[in-house]
Amino acid sequence: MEIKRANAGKIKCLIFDLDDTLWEGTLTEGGAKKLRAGAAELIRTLDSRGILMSIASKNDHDSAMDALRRLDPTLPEMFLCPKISWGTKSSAIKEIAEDLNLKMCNLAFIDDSEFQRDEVKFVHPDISVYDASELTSLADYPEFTVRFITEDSKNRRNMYVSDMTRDRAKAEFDGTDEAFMSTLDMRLSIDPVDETQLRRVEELTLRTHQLNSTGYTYSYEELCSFIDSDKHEFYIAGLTDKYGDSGKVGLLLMEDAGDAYVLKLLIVSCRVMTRGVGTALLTHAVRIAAARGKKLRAEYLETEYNRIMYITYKLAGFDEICELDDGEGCILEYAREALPEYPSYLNIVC
Amino acid sequence: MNTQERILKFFIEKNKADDNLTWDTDLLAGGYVNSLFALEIVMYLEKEFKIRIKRKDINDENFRTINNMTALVERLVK
Repeated sequence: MEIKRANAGKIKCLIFDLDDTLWEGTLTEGGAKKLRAGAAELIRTLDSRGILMSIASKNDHDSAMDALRRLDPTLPEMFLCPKISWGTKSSAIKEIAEDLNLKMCNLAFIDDSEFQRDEVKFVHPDISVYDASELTSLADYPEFTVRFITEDSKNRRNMYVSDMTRDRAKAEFDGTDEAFMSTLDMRLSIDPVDETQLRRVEELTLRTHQLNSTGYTYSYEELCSFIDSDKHEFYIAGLTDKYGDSGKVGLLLMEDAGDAYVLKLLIVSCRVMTRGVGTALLTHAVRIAAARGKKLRAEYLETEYNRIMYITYKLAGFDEICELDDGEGCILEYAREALPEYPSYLNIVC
Repeated sequence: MNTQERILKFFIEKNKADDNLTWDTDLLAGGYVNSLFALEIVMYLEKEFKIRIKRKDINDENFRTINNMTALVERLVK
């Protein structure tokens, strides 16, 4: 097991100021005729790495979007949820974080104005801020560097766009969550991990904190060794629905401990956490264990963010069988007679 | 408002209530509560009623109905 590399790949979304940061000059004073040197390359590079981009700028929304389009017709679609208004940048950034469901510590903000950077940093101490002069070197900073570029990272922007369309449909839907989900025509594939997927597997273990049941992360080499191991069962889950392909969104790793399988990893991408993937993977795990005459146990280590994992276990029929030494965690075991059912709104393909 | 009504109000504010929801509706079987919303409920109850819900009190029985949640809260505020 390796300790998470402190900063590598930490930034999931870079938020640009416009005037004198993304483009030269000030739009209201006749500027914005040219992107700043290095901006186009930076945008292309980050997009290919699956790092999202957005805008927090004090300007008129429509004129600023027109200016972007004049610079390059493909530019506006690169920015998700741009917030262009005369409000504070800190409030614009708060809205972006909420729209994209990202934590402040995964956001970065670039602005030529020290005053604006300080305002943002004061309100959101966890965000990373950069001066516009760093535009050309940003892509080389470790927090913007990813080890591999996967299919999922290349498609990430499109996935967020379809996520937002789905979220709007959900907000307009009149009924329970379960009823809404049954309208989505969701298919969850659960397959044994093979070598071609290892990079996405590693990416999932590094990017996902909230729904990682143990907080363990494994090195690439360790993950690789589980594929051929007789003592391990290792699955990856992919989700699609009528709004699009959400890509590979979940991982399940179990270790054979004789009378039981022990869950070592249960990871669900936070983008899909409302869609029953965690419950489905747990169900899958219990059913595989039962088919081989084994119990299913899970180790739970309490962290700041993963209380939801404990709740998922308990609502899925697990009971605590013992506490871990320090009381900060416990071992859970599936305790019901009957096998659990997959959520009715998911078509499982395995 | 009593405890029961405050919890129902939370369901309504979170847009999780429909015409069939009563104090005794099975929220888990009825699809009203998934684990994400259960987490929101836990956090809401802790803040609203100034209680701490320990791991041993997180189970499907305590969260199955609004009445059961009410009983849990009233036991913990004592």
